[in-house]
Amino acid sequence: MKHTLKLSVNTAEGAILRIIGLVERRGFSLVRIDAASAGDDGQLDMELDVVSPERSIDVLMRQLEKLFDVATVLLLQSDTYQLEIKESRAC
Amino acid sequence: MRPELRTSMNGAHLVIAALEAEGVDTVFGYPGGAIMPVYDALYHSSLEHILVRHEQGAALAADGYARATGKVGVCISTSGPGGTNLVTGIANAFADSVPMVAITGQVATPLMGTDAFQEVDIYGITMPVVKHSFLLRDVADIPRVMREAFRIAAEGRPGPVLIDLPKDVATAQTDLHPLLAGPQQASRAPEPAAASRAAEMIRLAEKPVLYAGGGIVIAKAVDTFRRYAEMSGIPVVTTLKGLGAVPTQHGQCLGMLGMHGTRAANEAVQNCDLLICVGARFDDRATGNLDGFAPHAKVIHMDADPSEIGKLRTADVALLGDLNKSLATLPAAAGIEAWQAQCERDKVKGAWRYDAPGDGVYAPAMLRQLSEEADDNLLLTCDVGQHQMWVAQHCQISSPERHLTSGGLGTMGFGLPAAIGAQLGNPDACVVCITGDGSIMMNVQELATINRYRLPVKIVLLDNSCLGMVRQWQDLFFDGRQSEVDLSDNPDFVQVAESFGVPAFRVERRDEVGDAIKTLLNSDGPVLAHVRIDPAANVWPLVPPGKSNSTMMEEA
Ligand SMILES: Cc1ncc(C[n+]2csc(CCOP(=O)(O)OP(=O)(O)O)c2C)c(N)n1
Repeated sequence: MKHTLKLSVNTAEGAILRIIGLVERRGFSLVRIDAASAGDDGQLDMELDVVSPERSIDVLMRQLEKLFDVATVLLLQSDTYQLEIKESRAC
Repeated sequence: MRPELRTSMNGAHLVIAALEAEGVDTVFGYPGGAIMPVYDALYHSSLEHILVRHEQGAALAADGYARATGKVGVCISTSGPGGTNLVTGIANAFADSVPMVAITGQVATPLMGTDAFQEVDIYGITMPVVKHSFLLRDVADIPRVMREAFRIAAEGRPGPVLIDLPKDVATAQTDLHPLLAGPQQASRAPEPAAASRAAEMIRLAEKPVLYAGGGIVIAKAVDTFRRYAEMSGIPVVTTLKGLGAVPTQHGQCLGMLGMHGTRAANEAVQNCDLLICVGARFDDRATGNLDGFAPHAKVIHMDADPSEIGKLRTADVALLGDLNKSLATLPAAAGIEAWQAQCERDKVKGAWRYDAPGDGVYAPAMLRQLSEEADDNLLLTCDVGQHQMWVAQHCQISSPERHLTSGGLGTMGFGLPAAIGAQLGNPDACVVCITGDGSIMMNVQELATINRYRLPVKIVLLDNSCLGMVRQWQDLFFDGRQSEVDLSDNPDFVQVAESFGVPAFRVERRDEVGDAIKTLLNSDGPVLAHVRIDPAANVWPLVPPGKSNSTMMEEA
């Protein structure tokens, strides 16, 4: 499945790395990232397309919500998706 | 004579003042270039700094201190190699949800990103193994960051927080003061609807099991858990870190589940119709093959961390929040007498036997006897390997904070520094470190710390002249090809200990064990018992990797 997530992020040093690192380590592939400053209030809007054949998106969302730099996580949509790149998974 | 008290304050003084304001009294560390301002500020502080002999020892000692006291453990290192040496200890705290604040020196901000001497991106390196981290680029942020770090480390599901402190920030002048520790975040109660569904499931269950994990001690819910277990009469199995949630001698306790669990615990879980998971996380060492785990059971999952729910096993009902509050909503079970009797029969049938043949020391029997002869003041720390599993199987454990073991990361070298931290945090406890001839060498330098602070830590070194746990797997699953596990050229451990100033003696025969235990338990200061055991001894029973917990191998 491919899921589109929308995140509101507090722009702290390393916040983007932390988010991307978590997504990949938790067994998802990132196939699209958009990020832009949301204005001058120190927020960053991010959209991620993430793919996993088996891992639960609900659990990933809760893992992302636990990051202190992440303010909100929304699931915009989920589609079936054929993943072509080899998946890297935690063992 | 000591130099005059400072009059002006810099970032490093503010960091130390913040530690004092957080109620910290003991910190573990090792100095060096980039952290020197902090060591200078320590000079006049009220903190007791424990100088270890390797930064990994500092992080693991802070971890042991935190587990034994429930307080946040603090460790300090310099930049570069000092920081990288902390990493294993930070990861260990992360894997076992231990509250810790690690402070690393960093090169000055203008030098950051230039490959300066002893510059390493410790903020980046530790990102996957911290609960959160801060790079302090501005002295004005110190009060807020220090307060946040302690709050984050301790609240909810605890974990390590890293603070990277550049040298110019540490030396910058400031007239700020630390923030006072605020009130703890109110703990969360489970949703009433979920609680009533859980209650209904418990009333209907015929074969319920309580699956108790390390979250119980983290939530300070041991008493609540015990009350519920006794009130409900539901049989209890524990994880490695849940051991002692009810005392292991308690009638309802079936022992540890999983790879080296008891037959009674594994069978109860495999046959139960309701699994009540209390602060545990379905770790693969506990569940075996997940698809075959508790195949007939509905699951009630109780945890403080929402991201544990449904991570590995779908929960029929999730009770999120403070375990004390969740447990208080649960009712007694009804009509489970036949099930209780079946569990009891399995427990009697699978009871450990200690009548191994021969004159050599039988490690399980020695550990059993040691824990029986010590009183409830015993605080065990373990290293990693066969001896760790024997402790879990055979020692009487009165409560989880008296059995410190590296469960999540399985860090060889944990035992000795953890014992140091535990003893400093709990000076009256009888701290005994059970270690192996492989593990002790991972942090053997900390014998010097034990000697320096005259910590009365007792060390039981079970020497099988090999990396026993790896050797066992090679024998069982790699056709006996013993690859790089021989340690028969070990140093003379008695001489090693004595050269560090720690008295030591050797135990080679079974008939010496009784006296050895007396010597250990009655010594006022530190002492090491070097115990020779059978190099071929294995840990039984064992669920082979990838198999379900119904498949338990016994000694051939
Ligand atoms: C730092 C680290 N390196 C390697 C391992 C893998 N490992 C697990 S148990 C073990 C053997 C431990 O030997 P010893 O301490 O002598 O204990 P024994 O199993 O013989 O009781 C090894 C190498 C580990 N857990 N930790």
